[in-house]
Amino acid sequence: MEGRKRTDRSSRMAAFKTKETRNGQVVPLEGSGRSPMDPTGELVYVAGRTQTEMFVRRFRRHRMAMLGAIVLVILYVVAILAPWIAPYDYTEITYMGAKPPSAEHWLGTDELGRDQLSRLMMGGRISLMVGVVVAVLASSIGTLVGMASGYYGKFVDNTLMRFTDMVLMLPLLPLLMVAGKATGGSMWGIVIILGLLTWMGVARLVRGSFLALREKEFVEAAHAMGASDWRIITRHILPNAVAPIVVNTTLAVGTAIIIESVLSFLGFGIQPPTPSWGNMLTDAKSTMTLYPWLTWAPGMAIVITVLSVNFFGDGLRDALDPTQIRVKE
Amino acid sequence: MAPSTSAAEPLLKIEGLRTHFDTEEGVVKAVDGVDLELAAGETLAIVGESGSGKTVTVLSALALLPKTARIVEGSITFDGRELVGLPEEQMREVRGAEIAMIFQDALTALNPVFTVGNQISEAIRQHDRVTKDEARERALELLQRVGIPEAARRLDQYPHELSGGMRQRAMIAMSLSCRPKILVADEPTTALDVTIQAQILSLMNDLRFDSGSSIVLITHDLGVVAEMADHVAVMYGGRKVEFAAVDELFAAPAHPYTWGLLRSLPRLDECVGEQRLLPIPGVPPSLIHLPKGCHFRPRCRFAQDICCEEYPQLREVGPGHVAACHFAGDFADEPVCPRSDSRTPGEGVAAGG
Repeated sequence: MEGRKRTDRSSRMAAFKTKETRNGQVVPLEGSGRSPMDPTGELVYVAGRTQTEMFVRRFRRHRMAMLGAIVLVILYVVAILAPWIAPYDYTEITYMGAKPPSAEHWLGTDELGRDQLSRLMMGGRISLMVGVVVAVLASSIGTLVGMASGYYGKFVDNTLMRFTDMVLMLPLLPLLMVAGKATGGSMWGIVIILGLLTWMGVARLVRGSFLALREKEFVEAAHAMGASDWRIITRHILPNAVAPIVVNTTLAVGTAIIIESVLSFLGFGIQPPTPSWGNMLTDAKSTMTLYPWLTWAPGMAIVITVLSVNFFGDGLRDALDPTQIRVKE
Repeated sequence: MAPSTSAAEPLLKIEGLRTHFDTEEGVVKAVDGVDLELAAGETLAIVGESGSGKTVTVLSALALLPKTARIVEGSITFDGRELVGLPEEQMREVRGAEIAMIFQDALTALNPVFTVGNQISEAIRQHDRVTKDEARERALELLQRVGIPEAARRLDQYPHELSGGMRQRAMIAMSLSCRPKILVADEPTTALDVTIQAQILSLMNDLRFDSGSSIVLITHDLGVVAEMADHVAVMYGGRKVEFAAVDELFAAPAHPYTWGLLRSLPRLDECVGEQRLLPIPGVPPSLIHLPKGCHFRPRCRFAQDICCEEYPQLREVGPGHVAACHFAGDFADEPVCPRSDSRTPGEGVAAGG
């Protein structure tokens, strides 16, 4: 095997005109897609980008996803920095009564005279945090259940899937309301409850992937190399199933934000005086005709956030799964 | 690597192995009483048609059988250790580190989402406590050893970026990662071009002489057998029907099935134009409803009444050469491919039987 002919790579490269495909791979233009081979049958060169580079390229072509990503970054930066950059303290009563937007109060003040922009920023801290933590928690639970179910199959699968069905059957809203009341409206209480009640979709998704992947030959090969079940699950199968999980987690952020808003709106979520976008809407609803600007701000914040999350998620899905061509050039 | 067993004791010994599958149609006797021995440093080829139990035999040894299969009977000793019924945890130590496997199609046997280097390091770290850098270092050495050009660059490439031959080399590198005593190769060259096949086979031969490990070669390609093996076991219908040293088997096959296998291959060196290729008629028997008597009887041109009645025991037809045929040895001196006289083996047997 020694002494194999090595061809000078650069001269070979020059000999073949290449073009870039949509996926960012460089293929030879001539010879109808055949790779240049040397007489031993080995590929002389493989010009390509790394997986990450291709992913980034595909994602950046997706305009709405890029827009969503940028908006999300801005929202999160503002929320994180809120205590320092907010124009007023969110509890400070700056003015007697509600006032429409003005130079001092860009989004006006609420009926207690608190600065609406500052409250929106602080409320965003809660809403965005709840969104991310719930999505991660739910995906983790769902992934664990789905992994065990799909990999071990049979009895384990049956038990876990029937349990999943059971949780799915529970009426979400009444349960959330009761549970929200029980936790006294603390943010972490609501996060945990939401996480415990929204993992089922991911569990089914992951189970499906694992059912298909565990039959693959590379899993058998890993077995034959002496890998333990845990190692096979986490090191060999999970990385192959990670793309749909990531996409789902992202989209779950939007759902979690909406559910938190609904809960808070109904008065079972985050309790005042801590602002969240949901309970800001509640406060505003009774005076909607008098002070309409109070509903616009949190309402628009929710809509923009969830939209951005969904665009971002769609872009991720397209970029992670090149076989699905949905990107518009 | 010095073999840790004495010369007399085989490295791997399979005795009376019966592996059955429970299916809805009935019990499939995939392996039904097989004895095999593999000495240290030796290459044993297991030959047979699809469904003859070749793969199931070695999967039994590694306890890698699908869940519907069970070892009904028999013992498998490796290096003096009984493998049948060994707890999963200890079995894991054997797999990869002591007995490693090379799969038929390296593209599907390599994980698509990891680089080659990553996977080989992973295999190393499964059994040896080394740091990531050391594992990577060893992965690089392994890739160089299996003759992958520009190994350092290949280390960071994904399986789909490699050619078929290189993938199989990477697969072999991975199986060698823990210096196994036995390398099981399940049709290692079936998915490859003929030219690459030859390269991979000679690589395996080189590695075997370097490391002194034994090879179990599962194949239906007799050309591969002739090139690689020391001993050959021919399997049919879940049983070993013939076993001999490779030269002996090719020179004087004693079982009609082996005969058929050899006759169904074109040969360049002999009988050009004189003999047409003779396929073995019929299909392998259903392993659920095996025919009474000799399993090969329905397809055997030499079958007699006794073949319907009882399954032939293995008969010794030469030193270290056994065959499960009632007439084994009776026509052992018949040439596979007669050159001067145009007598067919069938006439030879008819005369003998």
